[in-house]
Amino acid sequence: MEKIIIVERLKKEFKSFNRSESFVEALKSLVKRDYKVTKAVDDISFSISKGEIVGFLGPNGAGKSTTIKMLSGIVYADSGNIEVLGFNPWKERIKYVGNIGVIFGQKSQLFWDLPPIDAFYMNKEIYNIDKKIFDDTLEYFVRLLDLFEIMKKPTRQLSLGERMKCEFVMSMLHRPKVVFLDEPTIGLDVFAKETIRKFIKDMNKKFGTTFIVTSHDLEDIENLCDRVIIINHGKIVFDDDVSKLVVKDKKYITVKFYEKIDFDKLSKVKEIKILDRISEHSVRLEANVKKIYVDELIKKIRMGKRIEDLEISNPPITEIIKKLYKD
Amino acid sequence: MSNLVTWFKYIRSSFLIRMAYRGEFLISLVSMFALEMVGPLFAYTIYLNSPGFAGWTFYQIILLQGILLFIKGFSYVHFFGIVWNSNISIWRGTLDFIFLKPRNLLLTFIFSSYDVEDNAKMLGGIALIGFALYHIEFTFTKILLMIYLIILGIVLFFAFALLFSAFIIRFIQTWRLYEFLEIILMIAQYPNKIYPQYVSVIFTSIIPLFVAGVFPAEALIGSVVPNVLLMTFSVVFIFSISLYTWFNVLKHYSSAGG
Repeated sequence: MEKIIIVERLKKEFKSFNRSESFVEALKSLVKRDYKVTKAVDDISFSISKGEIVGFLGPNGAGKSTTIKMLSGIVYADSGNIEVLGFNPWKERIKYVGNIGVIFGQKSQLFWDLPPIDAFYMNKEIYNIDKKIFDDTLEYFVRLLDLFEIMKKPTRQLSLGERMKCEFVMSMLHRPKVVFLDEPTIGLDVFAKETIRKFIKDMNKKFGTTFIVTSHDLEDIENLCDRVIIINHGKIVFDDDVSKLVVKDKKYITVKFYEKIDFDKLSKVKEIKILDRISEHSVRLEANVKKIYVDELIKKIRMGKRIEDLEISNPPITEIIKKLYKD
Repeated sequence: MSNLVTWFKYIRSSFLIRMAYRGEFLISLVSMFALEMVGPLFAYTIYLNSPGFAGWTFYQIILLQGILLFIKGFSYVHFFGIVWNSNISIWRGTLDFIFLKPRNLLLTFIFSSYDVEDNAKMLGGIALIGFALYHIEFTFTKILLMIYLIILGIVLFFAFALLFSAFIIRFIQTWRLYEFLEIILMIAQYPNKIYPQYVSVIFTSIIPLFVAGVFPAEALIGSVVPNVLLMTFSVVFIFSISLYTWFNVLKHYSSAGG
């Protein structure tokens, strides 16, 4: 598959003013300041192929948004190289940004006091979009996102979900080949989230648009992405298929017995950790299955008792990601 | 051509945005016009009650005030909005969006900073100039020189706007620059001859502030305008530095949040 985003050894540092909370320190800072240098992005490299939907995960301050801003040409890198669709975002900005779309979940490019339709027409001029292409694209989006009435109301009267639909239209009217989404579903209700996710999938399928999505909502990642890049302290700590985000030697077991559980005895089974004593008859366990088969472990847990119900599952993706963040 | 259409679209949007609250829009237009007339009235009072404007007639004083008001109004309407817009968009984090438009950064920023209300200033300036010209005799050459110096004044204001905007983007949230600008305008609104000679030399040749008021008026009424070539050079030099600074600051823009 053709690589359309190539990032090599990208670095970005920010200098921030550092002082304690005391008034004397504040006075001193008028003359002399202590600065702290933060490595927002620390030597990262990756590539993304045409048509991929890649999730970009990481805790707050990990460097996700800075990376997106460097990829979209907003922020200059200190060193390293970025090539998107054959363009260097900083050297060929005007040509480049005509081929990308960017959506920030917490910032709006609509006019607050005017209906979104006015902003759409503004983008038609700015991006020099051919009238027929503009009309066709807008009509398609209006039908897909049910925007006919919404786009005629002043933006300030729209709900967050309605506004976000319009932000998507605003960023995609010029049919970009690559779209960067920075927390696109933040603050949205479940229905709005579903609509947005469906829209992204449709765009990816119909136009082959490549999406790079940063989100704290793991449902976004599980629903949309095939691949996930996890960044922490400015470094990539995971870059693989979402399906690889499993811990093979760990299982979660919920078991319910007909008889009362002897928790003292159960806690002596070395391969397990009791997570939750649900009742006298049932318990939730975390099991290490690295050196033992699951059926053998169940036998150890049973201790001769009859099982009424049993559920074995992989650790949820949140647990794995939390672990990666901590590491 | 495409930039021109985009500019008109932005102007249209600016009017539509302001007219969304029509009461506030009309009040602000009227109040701004009234406020801007205080300057000429004050100058008129000085003219009547002191020898401060020796050698100037009433209509010449009105012309001077009109030119200053026009340059200020024109600048505020068309490009000085980048100063206020820098503050607001840095604060909201929306400056990012100008980088995402496939257009020249500065033009996009100027277009999106169009200021509707200050049309009252600009129209007030035009009205005063028109009123004064009706009562002053002038030649074609003199009016050409006046127009040239007005253009220089506008370019100088543009340079200030770029420097202030760059300063705000670099140092974040510096609203007090507005007061600095008002001081600059106060210097420009009186004849250079009322100042000590060294002040006059500084604001004639090094930072030629008088080009934004006194000199275009003097050009029209036939007084000798000193060092037009040197002033032109200074204005072009200041403008080049400002332009370089603005683009250079944007290279170090770190955005907000995230």
